[in-house]
Amino acid sequence: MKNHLRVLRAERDWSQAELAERLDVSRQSVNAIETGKYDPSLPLAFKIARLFGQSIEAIFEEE
Amino acid sequence: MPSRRQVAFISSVAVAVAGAIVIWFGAAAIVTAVFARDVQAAAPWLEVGKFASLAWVAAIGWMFAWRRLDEMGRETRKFSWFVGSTAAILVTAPIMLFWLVNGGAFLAQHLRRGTPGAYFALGWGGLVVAQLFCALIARAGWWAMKR
Repeated sequence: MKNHLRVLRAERDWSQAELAERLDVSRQSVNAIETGKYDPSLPLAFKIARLFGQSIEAIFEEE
Repeated sequence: MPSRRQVAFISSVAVAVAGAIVIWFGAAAIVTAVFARDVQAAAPWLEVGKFASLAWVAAIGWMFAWRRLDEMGRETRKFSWFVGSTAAILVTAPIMLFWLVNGGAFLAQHLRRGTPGAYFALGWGGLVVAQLFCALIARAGWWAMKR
């Protein structure tokens, strides 16, 4: 699954560690999600969407 | 003011230690009452009590560690334990067959003072070590794929 997490994070000038702290996950998890190697669960996807004020579909898209 | 995580850690340690003391001394009190002065008969049950208290500490520690993991960490462990444990069972199966065919003689030759209990513990320990080793390899593979 593709996502725009890296772009959204860069727009806010957050590091992976900062984003990880806001989402209450590890930095490795943020990195794996950004690189498309790990698809987050629905609760985490909602958390990400809420944090960036966007819908899940706007952040994640099927490849 | 301690954070929520610190409070959770301190309470877990307190529950683990208090539970271990209760199990250890409780078991000792029951065993002493049941076996009265038969020290020889009481000894294995006292050991069981000791190990039960250690198992309690391990279980609380395991639960605490699990709750601290994020979802990817949990998935990593589920994957590595599933794959690692399955692999360990497959890897140790031929060894078990060897024991069945000629293992008794081999063990008798190399572990001359071994008791049936020691052999059983050796078998259990061997499987645990194999599981830990295979799970470690599986986890390394998972991280290599996900990094």
